[in-house]
Amino acid sequence: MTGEGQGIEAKGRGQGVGEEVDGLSFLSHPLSFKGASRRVSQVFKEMKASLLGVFFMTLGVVISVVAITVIASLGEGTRIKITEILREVNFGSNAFLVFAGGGKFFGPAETRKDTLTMGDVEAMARFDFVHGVSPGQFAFFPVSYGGEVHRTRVNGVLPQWAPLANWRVVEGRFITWRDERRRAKVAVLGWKTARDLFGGEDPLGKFVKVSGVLFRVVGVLERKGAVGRHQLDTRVVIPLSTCQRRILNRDWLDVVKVVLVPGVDVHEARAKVAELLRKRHRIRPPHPDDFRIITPEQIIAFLTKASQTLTLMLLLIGAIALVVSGIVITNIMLAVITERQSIIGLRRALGATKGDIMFHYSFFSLLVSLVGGILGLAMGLVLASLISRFSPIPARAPWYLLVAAPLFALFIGGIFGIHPARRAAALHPVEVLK
Amino acid sequence: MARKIIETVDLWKEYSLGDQVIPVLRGINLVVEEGEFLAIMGPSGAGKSTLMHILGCLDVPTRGKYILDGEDVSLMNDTHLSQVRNRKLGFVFQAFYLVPWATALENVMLPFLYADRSPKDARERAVQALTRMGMGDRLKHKPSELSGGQQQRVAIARAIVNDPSLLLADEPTGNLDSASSREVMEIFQEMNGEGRTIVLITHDREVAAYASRRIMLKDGLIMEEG
Ligand SMILES: Nc1ncnc2c1ncn2[C@@H]1O[C@H](COP(=O)(O)OP(=O)(O)OP(=O)(O)O)[C@@H](O)[C@H]1O
Ligand SMILES: [Mg+2]
Repeated sequence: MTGEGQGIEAKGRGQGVGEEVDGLSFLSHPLSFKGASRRVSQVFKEMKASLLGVFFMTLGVVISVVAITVIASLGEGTRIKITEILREVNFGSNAFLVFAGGGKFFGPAETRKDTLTMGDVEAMARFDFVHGVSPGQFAFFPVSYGGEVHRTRVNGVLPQWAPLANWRVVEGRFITWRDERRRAKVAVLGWKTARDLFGGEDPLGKFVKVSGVLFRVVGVLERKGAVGRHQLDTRVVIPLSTCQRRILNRDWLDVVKVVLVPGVDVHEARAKVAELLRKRHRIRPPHPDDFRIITPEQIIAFLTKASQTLTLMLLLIGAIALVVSGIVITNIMLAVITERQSIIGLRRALGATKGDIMFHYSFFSLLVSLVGGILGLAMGLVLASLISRFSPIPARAPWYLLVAAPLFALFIGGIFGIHPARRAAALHPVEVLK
Repeated sequence: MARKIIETVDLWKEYSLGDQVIPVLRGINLVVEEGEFLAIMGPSGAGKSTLMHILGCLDVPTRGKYILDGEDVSLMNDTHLSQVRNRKLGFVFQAFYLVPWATALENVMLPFLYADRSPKDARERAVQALTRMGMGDRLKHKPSELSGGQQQRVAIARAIVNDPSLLLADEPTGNLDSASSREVMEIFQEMNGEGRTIVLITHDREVAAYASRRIMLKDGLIMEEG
């Protein structure tokens, strides 16, 4: 009998055994350190006596905290990696891209897109806040060498592309103005493209076929890695004029990278460039722009948005798992308390107050959840770093996780431990000492 | 005249079952003086355990007054009653109620856990109490490694380790064979001989014979003394 809801109740006088409800009176008489440590050791002994229950309570917390830690670490790692790589290709906070054709980010163009020209580029370069401009065309073509064929992005660019993208060649040379003037059929390969086409062979001086035209390889770019799933090292870079005349047969540009003088306000510069282009393209409101200006922050936001939504959803599932493990804690604690009720009655007979019993079982579940939280965090960090070692996904634990994971676990233990602890404290000694 | 350890005045205990009121104790007037060894006898359901729970401050009466060792405990709240149990009372139960994962010594030290101030020599006192019960060589034994009689002796050691003014025992020999019962009763008698006040509940006339005074409880009333 638990003494609750039995239909039979003692007609007391509003006071006496079992009728005080606060259960917190232990706070009023301070415990000595020794007293507290002896009580804590009682809890440890009782835990040892119900190892299986403790194991399952801890397991639930560990699993959910591991999940949360891994998800948060991989999400944060991806975000940081993307930022680092964009900065690496000189697309940090002092640059933006002008794309041909108006419309939404990364959607198809919703206006004509044949209006972005070298004239626009020269006009933009005349702003004194502009450090450099790098116009380009790009398209995907099968690129082949020997038997190897790879569909690869082909970039038509000017010589300043390399310094403005902070991209060095590791072998050979980059495109020169002489190549540009002569519409030379020379190509510089991305690091991975060189690997894919040539394997261990030296690509310099060899000929690759791009859209039926043979190009002599004059250089190989250094390795940059990937932004999200976007591989930066697969590309064939050719002179812009060659691309315009011999490959795409059009003059208009796909993109212009604008790099600003350090210290210039990006938003102001962006507005001025937009104004210039509208004027040059004779666009007046309400007609939409026939170009798009995209900043690095927008790219990062775009690239991480999908993974962020996913991360958030997975984190939510992790949090739900933690709540479920809280419910497991409640139930196992209730089972432990039911099994131990005569011992609780005995402790009461020996002088334990309701507060003492509350303390005892609250501490029990708090300890379980804290241990589970710390263990889960440690295991989660190890697992995340293992995942990042054996996969391209980088891992970085956000600092708040180190505090939040154990605290959240502790919080769950506290919340879901209260009910059983109160139930234990409310047990009437007479009812359980039979 | 000796000091009164127990004094109850017209003590009632009623249980309500729906709108029905069931009186279990119907006006108990009982005085137990220091150094007495009282046996409470009576048929099953007479209210013996109910009375012991009230005398042991584990329960409160519905009506009436209970003065324990000069302190009126009838109006105390739960926390105070807990402290009174810790300071003034020792319990021995039929089912021993030893903590299974604790050693004999740890079991005997349990009351100090809830004392306002635990004595510096808590461990020494527990060893002494166990030694007195003839359990000095079993300090590190778990309850499961002890016989019933030995377990009850550990429980008695625990009941007296705080030097209580009253020792309460509810059928302490109920789970024991006759040899162990005799041993345990001799211990009670010995402790009474040293001046300890004891109230013991039993069905068994032979057990009651160890007491210095016997009363009968019937239908919630004290029927006879002798
Ligand atoms: N919580 C309760 N609600 C209702 N009635 C109760 C409750 N507790 C005890 N009683 C009743 O009080 C009466 C006395 O019970 P008690 O346990 O005191 O008897 P006892 O004399 O100790 O009997 P036994 O010798 O069998 O142990 C019984 O009839 C019992 O049914
Ligand atoms: Mg009884």
